[in-house]
Amino acid sequence: MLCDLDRDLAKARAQQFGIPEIETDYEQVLRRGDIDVVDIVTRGKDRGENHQELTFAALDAGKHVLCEKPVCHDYRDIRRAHELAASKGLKTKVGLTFRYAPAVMYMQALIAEGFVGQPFIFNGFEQNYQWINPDTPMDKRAHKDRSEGGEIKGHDSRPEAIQVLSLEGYGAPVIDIGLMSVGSGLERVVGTLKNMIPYRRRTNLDTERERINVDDADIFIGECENGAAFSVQSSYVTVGNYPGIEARIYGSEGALICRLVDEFGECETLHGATPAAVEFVRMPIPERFFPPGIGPGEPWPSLFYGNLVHNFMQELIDGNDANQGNFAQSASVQEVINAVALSHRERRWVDLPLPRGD
Amino acid sequence: MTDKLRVGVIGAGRWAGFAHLPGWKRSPLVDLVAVCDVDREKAEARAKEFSIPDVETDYQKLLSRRDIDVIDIVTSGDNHEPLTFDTLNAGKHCLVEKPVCHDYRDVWRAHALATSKGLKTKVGLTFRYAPAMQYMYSLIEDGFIGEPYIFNGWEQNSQWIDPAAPSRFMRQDTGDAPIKVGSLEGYGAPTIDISLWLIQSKVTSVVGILKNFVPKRLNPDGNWVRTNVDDGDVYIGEYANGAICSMQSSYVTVGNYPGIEARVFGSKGALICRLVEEFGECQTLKSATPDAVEFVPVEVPASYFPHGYKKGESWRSQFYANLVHNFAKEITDGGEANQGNFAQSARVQEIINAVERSYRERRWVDLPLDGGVGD
Repeated sequence: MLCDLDRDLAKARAQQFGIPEIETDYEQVLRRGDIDVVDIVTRGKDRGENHQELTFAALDAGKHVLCEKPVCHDYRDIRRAHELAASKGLKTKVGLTFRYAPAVMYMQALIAEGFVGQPFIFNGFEQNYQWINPDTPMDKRAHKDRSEGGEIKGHDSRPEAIQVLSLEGYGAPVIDIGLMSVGSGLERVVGTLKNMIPYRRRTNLDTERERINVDDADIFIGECENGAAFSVQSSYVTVGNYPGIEARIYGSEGALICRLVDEFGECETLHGATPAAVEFVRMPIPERFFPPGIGPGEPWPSLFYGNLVHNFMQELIDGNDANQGNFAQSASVQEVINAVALSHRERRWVDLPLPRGD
Repeated sequence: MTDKLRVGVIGAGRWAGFAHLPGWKRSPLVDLVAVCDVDREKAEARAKEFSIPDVETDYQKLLSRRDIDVIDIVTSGDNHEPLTFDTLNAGKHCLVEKPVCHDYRDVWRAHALATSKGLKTKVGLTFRYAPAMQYMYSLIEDGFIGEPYIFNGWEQNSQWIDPAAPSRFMRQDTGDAPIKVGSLEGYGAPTIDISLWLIQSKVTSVVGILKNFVPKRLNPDGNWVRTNVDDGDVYIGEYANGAICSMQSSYVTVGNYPGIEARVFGSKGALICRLVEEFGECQTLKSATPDAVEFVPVEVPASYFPHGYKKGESWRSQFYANLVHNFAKEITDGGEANQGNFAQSARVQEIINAVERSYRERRWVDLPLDGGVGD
C-alpha cells in the first residue's frame, strides 16, 4: 500500500515498485487491520512539519512506525511518542540512515569487541556542498506558484536568532553515530551556529537573493558521562561529496575512522590503527554487514536504507527487545540538538539532560 | 670569507641533532660557527658530527661574540624565556623552540624588544614549514578556497598512550591539583599557528575542554603517580571574519607522527593537508571545488622542498630545513617579511591561555585577553 496526497504520484510509484494498492487519505491506511508497519516519508510544507501528527496517529492505530527525521522538533515530543509506542508494545525506527551503512555497522561491531578500549575522543562530521551556491534556492522544490512557498523563516538577522537547520537536518545522524560509538550520553555541550551564506534565493520563483538567517554550518563540543570528549560539525555549504559523513573514535586500545563519502566509485571506507601499528590501514567490510541481495557497488542511498528497513523487519520478526535507532535514541539525539541550539543562543555550556519541565 | 649569516646554537640535545643542526648545515645562506651546551661532551660530539668549529658551555660567552648574527635556542629546560631576552639584548636575531614564554604577554614583550632593535625572530612552529603546508597557504593566497568558512585542525599521536612510558610532560606527582596544561601547549601550538595563518583573521572567542585520559603514570623511579595533565583537548573558536574553527590535540590518541591535519573549507574550494607518516609518505595535500567535489591529491611543486631534499626524507629534518632556511632568507633579504615570529607566537600563546581560562571558568572567552596588550 502506498499513500500520497497526490494520486498521480502515488500511482506512478505503485507502478514503478509493483505495489498493489494506493491511497490519498492516510487515515484510510491506518484504519486497515491487515497492515503491521507504517513508514512515514512525507515532505511537509516546511521540513516535514507533519511527521509528528502522522507518527502519533500511526501509533494510536497500533502500527509499528518507521519515520523520517525529525520525528518532532522538540525532543520531549519524541520521548512522548516513544512512551506511547512502548505502552502499546510497538517498535519504532527513525531514518538515522547512516548508522546502517555497512562500514558503520562493522565499526560498531569492532567497538563492541573492544577494538578501541576505553573511548577518549569522538569526532563527527556531516558536511557536503548541497547549498554552497547562493542561487540554489533555500527550498529546492520546483514551485509553480508562490502560495506553496510559505513557511521558511530566518527573517531575524541577529546571530542569536539564527534558525536551526544544518544541525538538525545534517547533524542528527552523526550525533546518533557518536552517542552509539562512545557508548555514553553527553553531560554538557557548547556550540556555535553560523550563517555562512547570508543572502540566498528563497524559492525557484525568486530571482533576487534575500537575507535568510539559518544555520548552514555549526560545530559543537561536549563531555560524555564516561569521560570522553566529543565534537560534531555539520554544514551544507562545505565542498565535498555526499553523504559527507566522517566518524572518528580514539581510545586506549585503538582508533577507527569511518568515512561515508562517495569518491571515485567508493561510498564507504573504514580504517583502523592500534598503539602497536599506528599507521591507519583499510579494513575490508565483511559480507555479513551488507543487506540481503545487495553488495559493494550499490549506490549509498539504497545500500544504507536497504540495511535500515531490513534491520527493522528483523527486529519485528525476532520479537525480542532489540530496537536500535528507535524513538528513544532519536529523542536523545534531538535533546542534544536542542541543547546545542540553547548553548548558542545563550552563549554558554548547557548541561544534559535538559530540565524535564512539561 | 663570504657574507653568509653566522649562527650559534644553544642546546645540543636530540631535537638539535635531528632537526636544527642538519637544517642549518643545508642552508647555503648560513655558516654554523658554534654550538653551546652545559654538557661539554654533548656539545663536542655534536660539533664533530656537524663539523662546527667552536664549542661553548657558557651561553653568555656565545652571546658576547660579535661575529655571530643569529642565535638558535633549542634547550630542553624551562629556560627559553631568559635565554631569549639575553639574546635579544645582545643584539642577535633569535630562533627559539616553543614555548618562548608560558604567558603570552611575555612573548609580546620579547617581540617589542626585538622590533625596537631591528631584529628578526622565529619560533619553532615547525609544521607551517612543511612543503605541503606552505603550498596550501600559497593556494589560499591565490584565492583557491574563496571566502573561508571552517578550519579544522588536529595535532595528535600516540607518543604517551602507554601509562608505563616515561613522559617529559609529567614526571611529577600532581596529586589532586587542578589539571595542568600539557598537550594544548606542547602539541597544539603548531596547529593553532596554522589555524591563524591559513584563515588570515584573528580569533575573537574560544571555548574548550582539557582532558586527562591517562590518570596515572609510571615515573622514572618505578612508582605509579597521579598525573593530572591535559593529555587530550578540543576547543572551538570564532574568527573576526566570520569563519569558525575546531582544534584538537592529544598525545594519547592512536596515530603516527607528527599527526597534524589541517582542513579549510571555503566558498570556492576546500583543502586538506595531512602531515602523518604512513607507509613512507609524511605529507599529503588534497583539494576539491564545487564543480569537482571528490577530493583529489595535489602535487606540491619542487620549489617548496628544502635544499638537498630527496624523496622519502624524514619529516623531522625536511620541515626544519625549510624553517631555518626561511629565517636565513628573511634576514638576508632584509625586507619586512618575518613569518612565524614572536608576534605570531604571542597570538598562539594567547589562544592557549584563553582556552585554558575557558576551561577553568567553563565559558566562552573573548580575545584579545586583558583588553589587548599585543597588536
